[in-house]
Amino acid sequence: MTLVAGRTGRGVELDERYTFDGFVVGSANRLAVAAALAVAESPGNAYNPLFICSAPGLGKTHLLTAIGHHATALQPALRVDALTLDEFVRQLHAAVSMGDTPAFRHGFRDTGLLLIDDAQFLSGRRETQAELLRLCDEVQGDGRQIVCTGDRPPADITDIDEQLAARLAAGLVVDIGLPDYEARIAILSAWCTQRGVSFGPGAIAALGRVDVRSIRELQGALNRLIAHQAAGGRDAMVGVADVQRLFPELREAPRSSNGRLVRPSGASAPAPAAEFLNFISEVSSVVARHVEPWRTRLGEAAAWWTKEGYRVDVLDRALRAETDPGSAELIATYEYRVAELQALENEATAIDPALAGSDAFHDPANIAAAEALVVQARSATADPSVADPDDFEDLIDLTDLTDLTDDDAPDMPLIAPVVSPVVAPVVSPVVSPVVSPVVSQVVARVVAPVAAPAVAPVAAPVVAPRRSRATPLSTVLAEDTFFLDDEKVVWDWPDASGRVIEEFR
Amino acid sequence: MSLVNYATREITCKIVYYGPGRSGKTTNLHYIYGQVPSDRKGRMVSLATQTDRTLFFDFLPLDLGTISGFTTKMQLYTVPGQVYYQTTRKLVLQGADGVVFVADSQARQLEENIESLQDLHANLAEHGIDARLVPLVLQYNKQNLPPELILDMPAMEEALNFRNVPAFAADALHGPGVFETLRGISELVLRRLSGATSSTPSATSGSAVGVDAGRR
Repeated sequence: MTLVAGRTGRGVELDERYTFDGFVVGSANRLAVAAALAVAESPGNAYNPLFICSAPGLGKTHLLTAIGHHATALQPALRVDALTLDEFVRQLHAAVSMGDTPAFRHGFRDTGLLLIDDAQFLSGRRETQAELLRLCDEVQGDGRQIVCTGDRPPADITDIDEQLAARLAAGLVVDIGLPDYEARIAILSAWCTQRGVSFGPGAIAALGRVDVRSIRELQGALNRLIAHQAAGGRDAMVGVADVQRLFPELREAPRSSNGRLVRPSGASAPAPAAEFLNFISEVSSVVARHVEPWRTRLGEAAAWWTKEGYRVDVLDRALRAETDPGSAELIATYEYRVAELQALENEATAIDPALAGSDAFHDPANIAAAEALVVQARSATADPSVADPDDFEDLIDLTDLTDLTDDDAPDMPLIAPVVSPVVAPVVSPVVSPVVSPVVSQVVARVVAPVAAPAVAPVAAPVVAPRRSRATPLSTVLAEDTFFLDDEKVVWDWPDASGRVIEEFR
Repeated sequence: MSLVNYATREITCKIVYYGPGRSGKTTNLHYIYGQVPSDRKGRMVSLATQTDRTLFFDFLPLDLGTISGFTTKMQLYTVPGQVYYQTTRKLVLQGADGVVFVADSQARQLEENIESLQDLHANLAEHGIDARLVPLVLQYNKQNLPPELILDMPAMEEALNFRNVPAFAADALHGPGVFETLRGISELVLRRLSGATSSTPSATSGSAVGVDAGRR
């Protein structure tokens, strides 16, 4: 188990997630947070010892761990020993059984900050109490800091030595209460952001109104909502009505147990669906903890877009990569392509309703096919007699395309990659998504004799969604190239100056 | 068995309920089957004799839906507990991602429990598997019976839990402890998703021993 200062020690590893930054402060814990910060910033000088107490699941351990992180961030040389009471007992027992108690004591000689979790388990442990009292005297006597947590104040721990209780309460005893509504909303929102999930309007606000007795219960409620959305709510985002339907029985939810053994209770079992949903919720939580976040992001995106009818080969390939191939950027790119396809499909459907749902509009890796379909549809309906001569005034020769720069076309609408597969080999390296209507006209004109000889030489330009140069996509990609399996995929998206976007597969 | 298949975005785990005859393995599956919404459960296959003893094995596929983008499925199996179905037990164990050992808490069944647990280890060894590496939880079933008929939890722990794995008391007939057990084994199995499986998963969360033991 780790010591944050990186020196050999006897504590447990501090959970990296538990920092002050990740701790939502509300009226119920403000004092505790302030005291914890003071201790972390100046160990041994503020409140010594600091004793944080609360009912289970309200953030004691989080705060204890945050003290350790913050203190070592400020004083890298500080040695922090963090132990649960059980671990303390185990080490003491090991030392006693080897007849080497002095070594146990010696092990804390260099401790600058001693963090002990779950001090309520001192109850009835006389040997441990005696040893802890001796340790308190030694550590405090040297001006070093002790912080303990427990589910009740020291004086309320049953069967505890009075002297030890008095010593533990001599610094400051602060409690943490139940989070209020605002704090619950803030906590839920932070978790949703961390996990990259979103719900329908009002769902989080409704979930925040659910009566919970601990943060863990709140987390369980959120897990359940996520599981419901992922596993049950296939057609719509979870909304207020779902929350109200899912949580009427939350007060009766089984309490988590501290012990390993779960004894059968005489209480009636939860409703079947609830019991199974609770199980799914637990599994979701475990999977979320053990699958790398980037795989989760890719998996969820792939599952979502598959359900929406889009091909997700590129996401699937990325999922099989050994390391994160830039999942956030890839998903952003993919979703942008989907938006482009949707715009193209809308346009095509307006021309010819029979094109609705065409496969070509559901493969974000092949936008050219969708555009070709749109061009084809437009060509089929275009009437050359009404073509506006102004459309041709800026006609440029195809050979000029290689010289096309942003300066040449500062106001060009940004559209998806070119037109027809027939043309793509010729023009895609240069034209790609940044193409003006003029270029589209040129391409359409050039292509027309090949693709649809019977149609008028000039078709109306393809109008695709306009992308702002300020789009986040211009900054998302740190690396332009990555490899998936044996297939090379190059993402060359616009840089800050709006460079041409290209994709080769 | 592959736990996660990125190509198909599937997480599939095979969990085998092992234990002596009449300990309640099939009862566990029946209870789970009864709690699963109809649109989520596959057909439970139960090959039983006329006296309702498991002849070959029970199989219950569970579809947990899409979790973190992965289609998540569990396949729950039981083995026939009777000693003469040794070959079947070995076959069912093959490819198991986790094992639930269902022990009968009745005092008179203690020897059968121990023999079955030894049988489990022997069969795993025959598959070339180090039993210490397989996620395992114990379930002490029938704890609802009159106290004079059963061994209490500490006695069961003393007799069977030498590996110090997670253990759950249960009354599989009525449900308490059934899903807790399934959750316990699922947690151990799914840890392997991050390659963080420990050979002795609960080595740090064992029963209270040492100084002040038994106070909690």
